[in-house]
This record gives sequence, C-alpha cells and structure tokens, in this order.
Amino acid sequence: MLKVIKNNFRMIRLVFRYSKFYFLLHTLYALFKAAYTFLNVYLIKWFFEILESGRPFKELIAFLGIFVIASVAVYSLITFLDRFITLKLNVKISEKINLALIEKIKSIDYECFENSEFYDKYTRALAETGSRALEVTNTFFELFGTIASIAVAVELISTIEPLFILLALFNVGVTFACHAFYNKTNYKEDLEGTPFKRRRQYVNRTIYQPEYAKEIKLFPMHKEILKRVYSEGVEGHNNLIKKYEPKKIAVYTFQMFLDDALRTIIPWWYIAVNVINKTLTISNASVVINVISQINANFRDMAYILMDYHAHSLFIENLNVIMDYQSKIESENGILLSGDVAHSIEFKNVTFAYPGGSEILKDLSFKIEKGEKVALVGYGYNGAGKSTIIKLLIRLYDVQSGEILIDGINIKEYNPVSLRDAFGLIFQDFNVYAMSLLENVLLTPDYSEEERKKAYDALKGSGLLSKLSDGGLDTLVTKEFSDSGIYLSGGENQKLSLARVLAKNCGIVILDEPSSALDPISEHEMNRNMLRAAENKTVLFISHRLSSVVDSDKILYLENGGIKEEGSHGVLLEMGGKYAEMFNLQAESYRQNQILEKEELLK
Amino acid sequence: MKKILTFFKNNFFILGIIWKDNKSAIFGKLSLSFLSAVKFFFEVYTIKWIFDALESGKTFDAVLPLLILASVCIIFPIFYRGYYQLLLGHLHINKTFKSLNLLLVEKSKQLDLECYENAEFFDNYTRALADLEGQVLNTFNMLGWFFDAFFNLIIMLSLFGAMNSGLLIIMVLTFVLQCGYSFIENKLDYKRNLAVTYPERQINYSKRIIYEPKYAKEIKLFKGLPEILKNLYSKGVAALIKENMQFAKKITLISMCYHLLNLLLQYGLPFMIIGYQYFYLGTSLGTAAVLVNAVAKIPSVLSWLIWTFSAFQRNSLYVDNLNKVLNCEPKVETAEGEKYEPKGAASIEMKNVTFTYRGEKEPTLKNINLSIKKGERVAFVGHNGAGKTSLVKLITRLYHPDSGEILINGKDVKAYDSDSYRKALGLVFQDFNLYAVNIMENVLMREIDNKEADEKTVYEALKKAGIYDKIAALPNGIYTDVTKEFNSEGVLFSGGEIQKIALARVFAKESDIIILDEPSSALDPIAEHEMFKNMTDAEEGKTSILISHRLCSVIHCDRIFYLEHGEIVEEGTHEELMAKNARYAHMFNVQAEKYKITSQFV
Repeated sequence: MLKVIKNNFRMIRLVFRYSKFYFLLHTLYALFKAAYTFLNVYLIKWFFEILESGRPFKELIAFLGIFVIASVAVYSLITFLDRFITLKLNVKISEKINLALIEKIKSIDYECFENSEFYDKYTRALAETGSRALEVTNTFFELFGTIASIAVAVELISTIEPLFILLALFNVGVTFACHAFYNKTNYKEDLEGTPFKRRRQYVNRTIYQPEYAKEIKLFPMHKEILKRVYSEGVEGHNNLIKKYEPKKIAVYTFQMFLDDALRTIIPWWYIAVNVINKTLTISNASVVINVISQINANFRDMAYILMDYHAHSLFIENLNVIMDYQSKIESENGILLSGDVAHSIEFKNVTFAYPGGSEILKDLSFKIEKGEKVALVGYGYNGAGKSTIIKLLIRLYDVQSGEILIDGINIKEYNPVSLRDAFGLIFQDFNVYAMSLLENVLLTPDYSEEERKKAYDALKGSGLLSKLSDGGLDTLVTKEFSDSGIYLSGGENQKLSLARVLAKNCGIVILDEPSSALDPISEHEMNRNMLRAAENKTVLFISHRLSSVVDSDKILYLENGGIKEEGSHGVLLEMGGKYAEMFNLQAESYRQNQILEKEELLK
Repeated sequence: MKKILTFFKNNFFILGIIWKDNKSAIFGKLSLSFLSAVKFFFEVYTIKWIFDALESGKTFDAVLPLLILASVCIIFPIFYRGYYQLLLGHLHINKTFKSLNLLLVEKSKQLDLECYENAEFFDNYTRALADLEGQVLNTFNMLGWFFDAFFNLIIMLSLFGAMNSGLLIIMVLTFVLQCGYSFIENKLDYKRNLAVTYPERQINYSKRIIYEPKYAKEIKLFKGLPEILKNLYSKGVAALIKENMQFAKKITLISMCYHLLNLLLQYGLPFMIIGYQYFYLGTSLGTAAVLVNAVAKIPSVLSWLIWTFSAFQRNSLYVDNLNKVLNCEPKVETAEGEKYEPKGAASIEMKNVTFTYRGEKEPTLKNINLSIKKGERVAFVGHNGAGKTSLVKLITRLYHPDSGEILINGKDVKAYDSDSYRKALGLVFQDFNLYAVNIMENVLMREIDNKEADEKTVYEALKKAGIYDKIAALPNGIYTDVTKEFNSEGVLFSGGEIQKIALARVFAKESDIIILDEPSSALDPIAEHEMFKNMTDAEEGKTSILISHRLCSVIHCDRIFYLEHGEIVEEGTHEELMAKNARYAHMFNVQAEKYKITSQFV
C-alpha cells in the first residue's frame, strides 16, 4: 500500500516539476466538474419543490433561466480547460518525459537490451510513459472531484435517510471484492490461456506476413498443419472458458443482483411506503432516486480510482527499474581516446559468458599492433565468439576475467563514449534512419560545412554517390516521412556503414563481412573499398569467407572460444592445421580449374 | 443512395459470417436487448405509479402487485445476461473465429504471390487480417448495443407520444443538434488528424528507435544519434501543438454554442414544458416525475444511437477493405487444370519468356529461351538482380510470364493445377522459414500420416542434410518443437542449421525437379562440401537447377546459364564458358584469384 502511494507520488512530483501551470489548471478543472454535478442534482430537487409548493409558473421559468446560464458558464469553462489541457499541456509534458528517457537510455548498459525480462519492462514503460504520467495526475484530480461529489450527495441524502449511505458503502464493498475475484480469475485464465493465444496469433501472423507467402503456396499440404495449430488454440481456449466461466458467472450475477437491488428496488419500496404514508415529499423522493444512483456511482468511481492507483503503481515499478538503473559500464569519467591515430589492441586471458549462458570465450589472448590488419576467422557454433569479441572491445559488455588493453591501458580506464567514438564499425545489420543521407552518414544533429564536404567524400568513397538523386546530400532515406525518400538495398546499406566510417575520425576499424550472398564481383569491390577505409588504421577483419582474408597481416583462427591457430596466411597453410584444411577444401575446385588452365597454357 | 446500400451490405456481411455458424448467438443478443428494454420500461414507469397512487389517495396495497412485478422484471434479466454474456458469448465467438481463420488459411494459399509485392494491396491485406477478429467481435457487440438503443428509443417515443408530444419535438431537435455537432467536430477532428499525421509520425519514429533493441548498438556507438532523435521529437511536438491549438481555437466557440443549445434542450425547455403541463393542463405529479426521468435519458439514448451508427460506418469501411482482399481473383493460384503426373524427372522449356514485376517499368526477364532436358543438372549464375530467382519463381509457377510460355514435360505449366505440380518440386530457397511445430513436420511440410514410414523418411533426410547428429542428441529427437514460441523446451537453430533442415525437406520428398537457390550461403566450408556431395546423390536422375554465387559449386553442372540484366548471355559447360573467356570466366577468376596457388606450392 505504501509502495503504491510512493510510486504514484513520484510520478505526480515529476509532472509537477515539469509544469506547475498544469497543476493549477487541473485543480480548477476538477473543481468545476464537481460543481457541475452539484448543479444537476439540485435542479431536480428544486424543480419538484416549486411544483409541490404551488408557486407560480413565472418563478419556474426564472429559475430555469438562471440554471441554464449558470450551467453554460460552468460547462464552457470545463470544456475550455479540458481542451487546453489535453491538446497542449499533455503533449508538452509527455515531450519532457520522453526527452528525459532518451537521455537516460544512453546510460543503460547494452546487456539490458539482450535481457528479455528487462527489455520487456523497458518497452512497456517506454511505450506509455508519456500518457501514463498524465493518467496518474488525472486520477489524482479525479479523486478530489469524486470526494467533492460524495460530500454533496451525502449532505443531500443524510437529511432524508442516512441508511442509504451505508447501503451504498456496502454495495461498493461487494463490488470491490467481486472485482478482486475477477481480476484474480482472469489473471489465472490469461496465464493458462497464453499458449493457446500464441497459437492463434501465430497462425494469424503466418497468413499475412509476406516472408511465409511463398512456402504456403509451394508446400500445398502445409496449410493443414497451420489449421491444426489454430484449432488447438481454439480448443484450449474453449476448455478454459468452460472451466472458469461458471464461477465468474455466479459472482457476476450476484454482484449485479445486489447492485440492482440496492440501487433500484430498495429505493422503490422505500419511496412507495413513505410517499403513500406521506412521510416523504415528492421532491425528496426525486432526490432519493437521483442521489442514490449518484452516490453509488461515486463510490464505485472511488473504488476504480483506487484500483487505478494500483495499476499505475505496477507500471511505475517498471519505470523505476529504468530510472533507477545503475549502469555498470557507462560513465562520464575516464581517459579520452583519440580517434586520429591508430591504436594497439591486446586481449589478455579474457574469459566471458553472456548472463545465464555458457562460456563463449575461454582464456583468450592475442595482440594486434598499431596499424596491423588482422583477420578473425572461425566456424561452427563458436562463430558466435567473433561478434562477442567486438562487443567486448567497444564495451557493450565487460569481461568476466582477464583484461583488454588499448595502447597498453585497460579499456575500463577510458571514457566509454570516447572509446566507442574512436572505433569505426562496418556491419551488415546496421540500421538506416529515416533522415537525410547526410545525417545518416554523420549521425550528428548539427554539422559544419566542412563536415558536409567530408560526408560527400565519404559517400563518393563508398560508391554510394550514384544514389544521390536531385536532393543531393539531403535526399531522405526511407519513405517514412516523404514519398520521395529512397530505399537502400542490402549492399547499399553496407556501403552506407562504410561511408559512416570514412566520414569519421577513428583509429580502429572493425569490418564485419557480410554473410549474405553478394555476387562475387560486388563482393570483390566491397572488400577493396573496405580496405581503403582502413589505411593507416588498426583493422580487425571478421570474415566468413576464407578467400578474403588471404591478404591480412595476421589471421587468428578461433575455435571453442580460444585462438587455435595464429599467423599469416602462408604460415597457416604451411602449418597444415584446421585453417589449411578449410581453405584447401574451398580452394580445391578453383585450383583444379587453374591447374587445367596452366596445363593449357603450357601446351 | 449507393453509399447507404454498401453500408448495409457491408455490415450484413460481417453479421452474415456470425449468422452462418451460430444463429443462436444473434438471437441471444436480440433477447438480451429485449430484456434490457423491459428493465428500462420499469425504471421509467414505477415512480409514476407510486406518485399517482399518492395523488389519487390509494393505499400501499394497491401498488404492491405492480411493485413486485417491477422488481421481478429488473432481477430476471440479470441472471439471463450473466448466463448468456459470459458463457455463450465467448464460446460462440470462438466458433466464428475458428471458421474464419481456417477460411483465411485457405485464402492465403490462393492469393497470388504478386499481391504480396504490391505495397498498396499488401497494406490493405495485413490491416484487414490483423484486425479481422477484433472487427467481428466489435460488430457482434455493436449489434447488441444497437438493439438496446433501438428498443429504448421506441419506449421513449411511445411515452412522449402518450403523455407530452411537446417533448417529441425536443427529442427531434436534440437529435438534429447532436448529429450536427458531431458532424462538425468530426470534420474538424479529421482535418486535425490529417495535419498531425506527420508530426505524430516523427514523434513515434523517435520513440520506436529508442525502444527497439536492434538500434541499441548504434545508440551506444554514435553519440550524436540520441541528440538527433531528441530534435526530431521536439520538432514533432512543436508542430503537433501548433495544429492542436488551431483546432482548439475553432472548436471552442462552436462547442460553447453547442453546450448552450444542448443545456436548453436537455433541461431548460423540457422542464418548462413539463412544468407548464402541470400548472396549466392539470396533469399529475406522477406524470411529471416519469417525464423528468425520461427526459434525463434523452441525450444518452440518442448519442448511443448516433455512436452505433458511426461505428457501423467505420465497420463498413473496414469491410470494403476486407472485400478487396477476399474478392481478389487469383490469376496464378487456380485449382483448375490437369493433374500433374510425377515421372521421376521432368523437362523444362522456356520459349520467348518475358516477365515484368507489377509496378516495374523494366521487364526483369527479357525474351528468355532455354531448354532443360529430363535429368539434366543446370546452374543459373550472374550478378545480384540479374533475374535468376525470378526465373525460378516462374518455373515454380508463382508468377505467369507476360508473354511466351513455359513448358514442363512439353505442356504449358499453366495447364497443370498448381498443387499437384508443386508436390513434384523439391525446393530450397535462401530465405526459407522454419515453423513453430516439431522438426518432423518442418521437414515433411505436411501432416504425419504414417508414423513409422514418415519417421524413417525424416531420419534419412536429416542424415543426408548433415544435421541428424545434432537432432538425435535432443531429448525429444525429431519431435522437438522448433522455436520457443509455444514450448519453452523448443529449440532455436542457427542460420546454418535452419538451412540444413530446409535441405532435408528436399531429401524427404520424391520430386521431379529440384531447385536450390543459394542453399549453402550460411554453411561453413566443410558442411558445404558435404552438402554438395549428398545433393549429387539426391539429384541422381532428376532435373535440377542450382543458383549459387560460389562458382566452385557449379563447375560440375551439366550446363551453366549466365544471366545479365534479365537475359541469358552465356550458356554451356564450365569448360566451354572458361574457354570463351567472357563474363562467366571473369566472374570465376575474380573469385578464384584468392585461392590461386601461391608460388611456394608450385
């Protein structure tokens, strides 16, 4: 309970900090709203009093006139405030919250994004933070409004029959209990129903996602499997309905019965007895009828508000996890690493496992000198080790034991932002953004004329220049914001990431060769361009195809998380180990052909 | 007029879907609404009877029977509703969902592949399918609300008609006012929505980037990126607020006028009329009470009615969309045609085939002529985008050519019915998917019909694909579920393993033509070597087509076709093409260069 209050107050404080004006307007809004309910309740009472007392018709008209004018005044203010709040202030506040979150994301360790539990909380929190913060404040003010309404209603009814207040409280108590039961049952049902829901959604998704379209056609009998999966889902759901619904029905019916009895039937009998016995005036009878509905509704609102607070609190818990996250890696301190010169890299007895996983790197040691070009190869299940080495190098993760040194200094000593900034990475799975080509290359919000020139040269160097249509450097990428935007193909995507490296000052370049099928000639060209980007720099080349590593200064052959073979291409071939075996296997057919050719030439 | 007709037709279309499977669901909704109308009637009238009894000096005993009747009529529907809503409602709608989705699975099979490549159609298609269940449920519920509103309206009309026809006019005016206001508001809101689409997209885009994990790496790597996103977000917000305020300016004055009129119609005038009737026409206080009660309910009943109509309207738009999908006549995926008789191998012939993707100006394939004999092994090679995969798509009958013809065993491929023809094809594409069912079904790609025989087939196929050992080591063997989608004990496979399982599909099936499109792109050299060795066995005697960028794997093919810009520019055996020393030879040499025997080995 305390936690619920604490969480909600944290959110309200946040909003308060962002806009005090918002609080003022919202208070006004809540007050006016309560006043409006008040007007409605009294209207009917006064109306019947005039009728009963036999005062003249003129008086009724005057009364109604005043009433309408007062109502219009109040109601206009309500709508005005409502619109102003929802259309302007809400947007403003959620902007501030979201900007704060973007700022925060920088200091969240990469590890979290690969941890599905944290990530789940993160997306959920992020998806609705803006709106939720406002809901919390809304609920806060609603509570005041409801309390005000209840006060008026209690005042009205207590002079007639205080017992009705107790009945309404009883009703709300039962409603609350029933709801608790529902929520619990629904939760259980949802939990048990998840596997079935997944089946249904899976089939539904398979039908409309284009990547599955080909197979559904090419394997004619495959659809029977999909149908079976869907039917399993429906059967499962039906069984759950049969299991849980009868209980829910019983409770639901009881609750509705009680509600109708307390709100409608008991007042009728009360009025019938008392009006006919002349112990109740007609105007008061009308009060009983209207106010009882009102007070029940108010009490129920209260209950909902309390439940809302509870729901808010659960959400804020998620947000707290993010806001209070203490990064293990990110920091603003540390030595700055220059991007202008090449650096040496050394792995010393590095052991690493992903959280909850088995060891990917075991006692790994190697050294790359300044300006050296080194290729990292390796196949099979341990291939994953290659990308892990990159992640450790740019400190997306930290090693469990051993150390990584750049220029002889442990990378933990460097400022993480400056460390990463000194790297240039070329990946295939890099993203393009819905911004201009220029921004996609520079990835910075403001740039000088000189940087613009640099981006142009980079695009030229990466072979992407032909993509520039009339818009030049400002051509938008993707059609997200403009129909004139351009799409980049897989290969062009990679050229873009090359351009990013060319436009940037970086001392170490990491090239992750694409594993997808580029045709031999484009592949050849790409490799050449990549190497050009790496002149005078330390280069780590991750390769999936052996043909492209031949020219590197040194090849590291990775197996089972450690370096198995190390040396230049010539040395490794001579050694006749695993690398040589793989290389020869690939080269065999080509070589046969060359021998034939040579023989022909000799003839 | 035509609009109104479609409106009804569309909504009845969805209701028809429900009606077909469970008529009782519709009757159930109707009966529920009827009972709630009865309840409404008593809610309005009971007070009148009590007040009238007072005025006419009757005793409590005189109203007692009515009071009991009213109480019972209020209580009874509660039980019925509970029974219906929770039990029957869910089961009914599930039944409808089931038959709908089974229908859609069929439908998606019949949809031409071309439709998926047409952005507009595909957009409609996904939207229609993603919302289908929700829309059906919505229509079903709306039907109930509509009945509710309708019955309530009738009761009120008859009440006012009988007691105070002046209030009928008030009701009509309220209706006009509400319609008019919601029309104006909708129009302004529509304009606002249109204007804010762009800024909202900017806002959502920047939000999406910060929460999708695939961007996380770059956010760490490029320190300027978060700043760009913040700028984009703020730009969006500024534009959004500007549009919002413009909307607010216009709507505020209008809504003030509306509220004035509305309050007059809701309270001022009705209370005056009721008061007048009481003062000058001598009606009873009971009548006044019932009218006051009823008047209070006018706005909610009317706005309810208007709301259901506009909801049905939205529904109608949705159905338009759905119909476009459902009525899309397949040109390629037709069930008619001759049954294809498997013969162990097939000949393939293309005569002057030209093919253009929808929406493209340039044809992807130009005047292709080729002939592949029964049992021949051929390869298609060329640059990315040269048309190799498109050629395969035509042979597998996923598209029809614009002109020219494709003959399989001497007969136009269009003449065969697509299912029986495709059953005779063994295929591996590089972008093939595994499904969240067990490995056995993923290999067979059909339901298991003879457990023992099928198991044997699958084991054999997995062995040949080179992944048997890995799978046999799993606790559930070939009954292991693929992916963790439905089963936390399911297994996620790596790219190379997925490719091997896809290959097993070819081994597990008797086929006339085998087509392999980049089958080894994710395999390591040793696995690749093994695969090609096994493939050679499987291809024995069958017609086969291989697409590969690793030219060493195509050397042994009977014939190689080199494609460029949608045309076959070279054709022949590896030796012939090398001797020709043109494009193919160039490509081969670029790749082979790195493997050149260095001097130390010569």
